[in-house]
Amino acid sequence: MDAASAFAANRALWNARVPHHLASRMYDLDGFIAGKNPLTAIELELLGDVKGKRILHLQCHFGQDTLSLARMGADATGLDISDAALDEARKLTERCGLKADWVLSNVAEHVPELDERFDLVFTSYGTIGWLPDLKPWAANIKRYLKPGGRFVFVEFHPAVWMFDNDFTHVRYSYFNRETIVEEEQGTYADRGADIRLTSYSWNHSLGEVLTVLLDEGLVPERFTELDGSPHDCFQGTVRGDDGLYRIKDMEGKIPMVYGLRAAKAY
Amino acid sequence: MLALLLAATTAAPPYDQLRRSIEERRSAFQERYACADSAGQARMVDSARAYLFARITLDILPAWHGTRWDFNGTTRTPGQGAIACGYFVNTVLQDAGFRLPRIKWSQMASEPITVKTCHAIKRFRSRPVSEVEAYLREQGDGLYKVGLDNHVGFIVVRGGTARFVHSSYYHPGSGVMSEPLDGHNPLAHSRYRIVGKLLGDAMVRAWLSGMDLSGLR
Repeated sequence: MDAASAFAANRALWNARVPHHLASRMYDLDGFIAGKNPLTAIELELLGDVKGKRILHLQCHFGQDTLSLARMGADATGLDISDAALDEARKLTERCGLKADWVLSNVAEHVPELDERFDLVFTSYGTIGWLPDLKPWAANIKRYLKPGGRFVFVEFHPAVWMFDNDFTHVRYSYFNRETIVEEEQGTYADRGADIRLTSYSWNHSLGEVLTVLLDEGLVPERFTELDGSPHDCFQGTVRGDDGLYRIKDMEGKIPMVYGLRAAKAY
Repeated sequence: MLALLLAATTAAPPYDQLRRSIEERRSAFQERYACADSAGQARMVDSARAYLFARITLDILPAWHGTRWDFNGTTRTPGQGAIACGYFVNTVLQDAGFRLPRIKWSQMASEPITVKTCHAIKRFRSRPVSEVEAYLREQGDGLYKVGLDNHVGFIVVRGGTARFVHSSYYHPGSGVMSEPLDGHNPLAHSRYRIVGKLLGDAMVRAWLSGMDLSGLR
C-alpha cells in the first residue's frame, strides 16, 4: 500500500474513533471541561514554562492536550489528520472558553504558513507510528520552529510495538522493516466500541528517530526512557505505586515510554 | 528515571534569565575548578567547553536572530535596537560569561583579538570560500570566529555543516542571521579572511577562573 492510501485509511480510522473517545473514561471529557489537565509530569517537565510561548501540537486528536497548553498560557495550535477530531476540537475550544488554532494535515506534508512560527513543537504518545517515513516529519518540525525553538517529544517505546496486542509474542521487528497492518475491534480507549477498522502503522527504532532529528539539525538536549506508561492503553497492565502502568509479568523489564527535547541548531 | 526528568531545566528561557543561568553555572564551575587537581581541571575544561558550545549555539545566537544591523548599533538586548558586527561578536561572548572589554574590542580591528583568543588560526588571501569550508571541516565541529576585510562574525560547525552567523550589513533590516558560507554575504565576497577556533583550552580556562580574556597571550 502506498503512503497516500495508508494515510487515507488511517484518517478514516481516526475519524471513526472520535465519538467513542469523546465518550470514553480514558479521555474523561467532563473532567477535562471542569479543568483537569491530561498532560503528565513527563511532558510537563520537558516542556518547561509554556506561558506566552507559541506552541504547535502535532497529531493533537481532538485537542485536550493542546487546550491544556492554552490553559497554561500558551498560544497553541493543534494539527491533526482527522477532520472529525478537529471539528470536535473547535467545539471543545468554544465550550471551554479558550483560544486555539487548528490545522488539518497528515504531518508529512509541508504547511508553509507554519514556517518559523513556533517556540515549541510538541507531540506525544502514539504519534510517529502513523508515519511511514520520519524524514518529512523531522524536516517539518525544523521548518515550523523559530530559531532557538525546541522540539518536545514523548512517545511509547518501539520495544512495546514489537509485541502482539496481548503481549504474548514478539510479532514485529523493532526496526522499520514492514507496514504493520492490524484489524482492531474497538479502540485503545474503549475496547468494547462497535468499530472494526484496519490500521496501517510503522515501528520506528530509537536510532531512526535520533538520526532523522540530527540530520535536520535538531540537537537532543535531554533523553530518557521509562519502564512504565502514564496512560493505560495496553492490554494486561498493572498500575504501580508511581502511577505508571506496566505489562503484567514484564514489570520493570521492558522500556515503555521515552522522552526527548531537542533544540533547533542555528 | 523520573527524578532525572524532574531536574530538567525549562525550555528556551528569556534572554536575561539565560544570562543569569549561565553565570550561575559558571560560578559553580569556578568553585569546583579552583579546588580540583590537574586531571579534574582538564575534565572540567572539556565539560565546560561542551556546555559553552551548546549554550552559545543553541540559545544565545538564535536569541539574537533578526536583531537589526547598524554601523553604530551597540544594543545589549536581542531584538531591541541595532547591533554592529563587532558588538554582536563580543556581546555574545560576554553573555556566555567571558570577561572581556566589550566596547574596546568591538571598536578594534578583529585580527589581534582573534590571535589572542583563538587557536587553529588560518589566513586566506583571495581564496575561494570553498577552501575555507574545507579547512573548517578538517578542524571539526566547534565555534569559530572569522575576520574579513570590513566585517567579523562567527562560524558554527556542527555535524560537518558550517553556518555563518553574523550581524549582516548586506541585509541591515534582517541583521543577525545564520546562513551558508557561500551565500550572498561578506564572507563569500571578502578578499581577506582570518579564521580561528574559539573555546580552546586557554579560553575555557579563563572562563572557569573568571579571568579577563585580555590577559590571554
